[in-house]
Amino acid sequence: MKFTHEPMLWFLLVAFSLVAIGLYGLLSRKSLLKMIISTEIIVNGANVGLAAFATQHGADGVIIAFFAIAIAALEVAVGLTLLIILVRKYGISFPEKLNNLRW
Amino acid sequence: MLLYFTILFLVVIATAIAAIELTNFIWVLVAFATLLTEIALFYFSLGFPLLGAFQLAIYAGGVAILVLFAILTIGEREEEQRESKLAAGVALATFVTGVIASIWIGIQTKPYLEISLKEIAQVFMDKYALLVIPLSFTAVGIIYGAYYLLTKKLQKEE
Amino acid sequence: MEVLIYLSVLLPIFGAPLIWLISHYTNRWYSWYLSLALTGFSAVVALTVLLGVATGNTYSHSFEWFNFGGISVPFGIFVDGLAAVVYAVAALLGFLIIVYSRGYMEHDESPHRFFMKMTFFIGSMLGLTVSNNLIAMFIFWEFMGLASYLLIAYWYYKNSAADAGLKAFLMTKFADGFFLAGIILIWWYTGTLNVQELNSLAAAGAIPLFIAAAAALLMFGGAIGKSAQFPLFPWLLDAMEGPTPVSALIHAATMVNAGVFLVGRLFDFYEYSKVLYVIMAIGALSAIIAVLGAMVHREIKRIIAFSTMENLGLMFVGLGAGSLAAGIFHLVSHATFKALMFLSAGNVIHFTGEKDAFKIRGLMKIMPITAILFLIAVLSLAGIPPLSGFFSKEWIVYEAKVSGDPIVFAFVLTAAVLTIYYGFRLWFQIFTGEPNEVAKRAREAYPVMLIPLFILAALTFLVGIFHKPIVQLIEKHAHIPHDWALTILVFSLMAVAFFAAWAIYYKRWINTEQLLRDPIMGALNKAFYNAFFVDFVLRWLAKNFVVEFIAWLAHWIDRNVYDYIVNGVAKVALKAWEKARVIQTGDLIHYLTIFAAGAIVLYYFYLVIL
Repeated sequence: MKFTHEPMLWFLLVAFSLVAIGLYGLLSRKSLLKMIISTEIIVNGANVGLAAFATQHGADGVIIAFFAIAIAALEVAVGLTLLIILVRKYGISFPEKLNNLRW
Repeated sequence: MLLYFTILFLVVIATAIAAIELTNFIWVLVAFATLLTEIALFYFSLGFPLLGAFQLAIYAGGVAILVLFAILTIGEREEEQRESKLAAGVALATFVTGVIASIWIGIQTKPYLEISLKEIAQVFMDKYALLVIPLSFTAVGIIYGAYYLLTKKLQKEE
Repeated sequence: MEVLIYLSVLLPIFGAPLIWLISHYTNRWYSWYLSLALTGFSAVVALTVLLGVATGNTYSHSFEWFNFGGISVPFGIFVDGLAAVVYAVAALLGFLIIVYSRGYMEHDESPHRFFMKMTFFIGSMLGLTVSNNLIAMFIFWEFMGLASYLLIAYWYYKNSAADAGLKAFLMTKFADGFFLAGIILIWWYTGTLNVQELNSLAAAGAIPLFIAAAAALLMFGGAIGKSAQFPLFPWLLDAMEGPTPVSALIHAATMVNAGVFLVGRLFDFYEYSKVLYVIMAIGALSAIIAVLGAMVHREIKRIIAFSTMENLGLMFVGLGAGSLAAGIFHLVSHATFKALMFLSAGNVIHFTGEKDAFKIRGLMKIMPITAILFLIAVLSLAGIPPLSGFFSKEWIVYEAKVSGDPIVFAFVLTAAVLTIYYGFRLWFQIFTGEPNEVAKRAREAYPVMLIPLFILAALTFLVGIFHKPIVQLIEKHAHIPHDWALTILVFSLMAVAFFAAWAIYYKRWINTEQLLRDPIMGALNKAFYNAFFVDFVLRWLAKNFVVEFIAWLAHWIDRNVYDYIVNGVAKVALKAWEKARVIQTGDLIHYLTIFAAGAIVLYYFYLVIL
C-alpha cells in the first residue's frame, strides 16, 4: 500500500516516538549492547523523519538517509568490536565502571 | 489507510519498547529486527523502494546478524537494570517536544512528490557524488580499526 | 646633502657597536681609527653644511616614521643657521676629543668600549641638533642620557664612578619626565611636533597662553636636568669621575648644550609663552651658585665643572633676556674654550696623576705648551679680547642689564667678573712657582694630545675674530651691542678680581689657611664648597620622600594590595574548584543525560527567541 496525501504529522510522530524511546534506552540501560541498539533506534527514527520530509521537499532527504544507514552500519561494527573487548575486561554492565575521568 | 498506518505505528512502538525493556538478549534481537523490518515497510509505503531495500539489506540483514554474533560472544542475559527517573524525564521531554514540533511542522501537508529512482540518481550525482570519496575512506578506516582492535586486543589478552 | 646629514648621524650611532665588535676580535686600538673615521666623516659633513648654510641654504627633509590610529609620528631633519652652528661645534669638537683620547686613554684596558660609547654619544648629539621635531629630539636626548651614564661610569669598578653615573642618569631621567610631559601636552593640543610649525603657530598666537606656558615650563624642566641648572646640577659635579675626554665631551660638545639648544630651537615658542623670565632667573641663580663654588673648590676638574655650570647659566640668561643670538653664541664660544680648558687640564691630570690642584706647583717649567694653552682658555673664559669669551660674555651682561631686573644683573655681573678670579686662581696654583714632587713626575704631553689643543686654541681666536658672521648665522640681523660704560665697569671690576687672585695665589701675600680659620669665612667656604647644600637637600628629599615614603608606600601596596588580590584569585579559584568538581562524575550516561536535556532546552530557547 502506498501513502499519497496523509498528513506529515503521522510520520513525524513515528520519528519522534522512536527518538524518545531510543533516548530513554540510551540513558537508562547499563549494558553497552542495549545502548548500541538504542542508538540504532534513534538513527532509524531520524531516517523515518528524513524520508517523510523527502516526500515534501525533494530527493535530498532520501540520499541523506542512505548515507545515514551506511554510516550507522559502520558504527555498529565498531561499537560491537568495542563491546566484545570491553565486556571481556569489565563484564557486561561496564559503563558505570568507566569513570576514571571523574574528580 | 489510517488503519494500516495505525497498525504499523503500534507495531513499531511496541517492538521498540520491547527492544529496550526485555532482558534476554535473544528476544531483544528479535524485537529489534522486527522494528527494522517495519521501518522498511514505512519506506516502501512512502514511495522509496530503494531505501526500503537498503534498510532490509543492511539493517535487518547485516546489523542484526552482527548483533547476533555479538550476543553469542558475550552471553545471553543482561545482569541488572539502571533505575533512572532523570532518563525517563528527558525522554518524555523529548517526546513532548517532538509532538509539539511535529504539530508545528506537519500541520500542513502537500500532496506527496513522485520521486523516481532516476531523479534520486540525478540529485545524487549532482550534489553528493564527491561525498562518497571521504565517506569511503572513513569506512575503510573504521573497518580496519575494528579489525585491528579485535585481533590485537585479543592477542594481547592471550 | 640631506642624505649626508642623515649619514653623519646614523653612521656614528649604528657604527658604534661595530667599532666594538671589530676591535674586540682584532686589535683593541683599531677602535680609535674606526671612531676617527666615523666622527671625522661627521665633522667634514658638518663643516660642509655650515658653509652651505652660511651661503644661504637650509636643508630640510621630513618623512613619516610610523603611524597608528590616525596619529602620524614624523621624523626628519631641518638645518638652519642655528642648528648648523651647534651641529658643526658638536661634530668638530667631538672629532678633536676623539683624537685627543688616544693619548689620554693610553693605559686603558678596553679602549674599544670607550670609543664605542664616545662615538655613540657624538652621533646622538648630532641627531639632536638636526632633528626637526620634538619626538626625534627626545629620542636622541635619551640616547645621550644613556651614553652619559655609560661614560661617566666608564671605570665601573670604582664605586664613586658607578654612583656618579647612576646619579647623572637618575637626575636627567627625572628631568626628562618633564620634557616628555611637555611634548605630550603640545602634541595633545596642537597636533604637531615640528619645531618650525610650533614656532610659527606661537608667532601667530594660535596656542592658548597657559598651554604654551605650561608646555614651555615642562620642557625647560628637561633642559634644567640636561644642562645642569639649579636645582638639578649636582650630577654635573659628580660626573667628573669619568675620564677627562668624557668630561670635555659632556661639557663642551654635547650633553649640556642640549638643554640650551632646545630652548634656542623653540625660541619663538618660548618668547610667546612668556616664561623667559623664569629661564633668566634660574640661569642667574645657577651662575652665581656655580661661580662661588668654583672659587673655593680644590679639584681641577670640579672647578672647571662649576665653570661650565656658570657659563650654562649665563647662556640661559642670554636666552631668557630675549636674545637668541647671545645665548647660542655664548654656547659656541664656551664650547671652544671649555674643550680647550678640559683637554689641557686632562694633560695635567694625565701626566701628574693628580686631580687636586693644590698639590701641584710650578708645572710651567715642565709643561710649557700646556701651560700656554691653558692660559689661552682661562683668558677666553675670563673674557679678554680678542678671544671668543669676551664678545659673548659682554653681550650677555649687556642683555642682563637691558632686561631691567637689578637682581639678575647683579648676579650676572658678579658671576662674569669672578670668572677671572677662579680661572687665574687655578692657573697660578698649578703653573707658577717652583716645581714640587708631583710636578717633577710629569713631562710635556704627546703631540697627539697637543695638536687638538692647538686647533681648539686657534678656534677660540677665530670665533672671537669672526664673531660677526657667526652671530649673523645664528640669528639674522643680530649684532653685538657695544656699551662702553658697561665694558669699562666690567673690566675695572675684573682687574680687581685679577689682582686678588694674583695677590693670593701668585705672590702669596695672604695665607688662605689662616683666612679659613675665621668662623665666618669658614662657614662661607663650606656653603660655597657644597654649592649651598643643594645636593644635601636633594639627597634628603630623595631619602625621606622618595625612599621612605613613595618607595615604602609602593612596597606596602605591593605586599598588601596586589599580593592580596593575586593570592585571592588563587584562593577563589581553589574554592570554586572544590565546589564545582563534583559535577564531573565521570559517568558517561550522566553526561549523555545532561547533553540531551541541554539540547531540548536549547530547542525551546530557539523557539522562544523566534
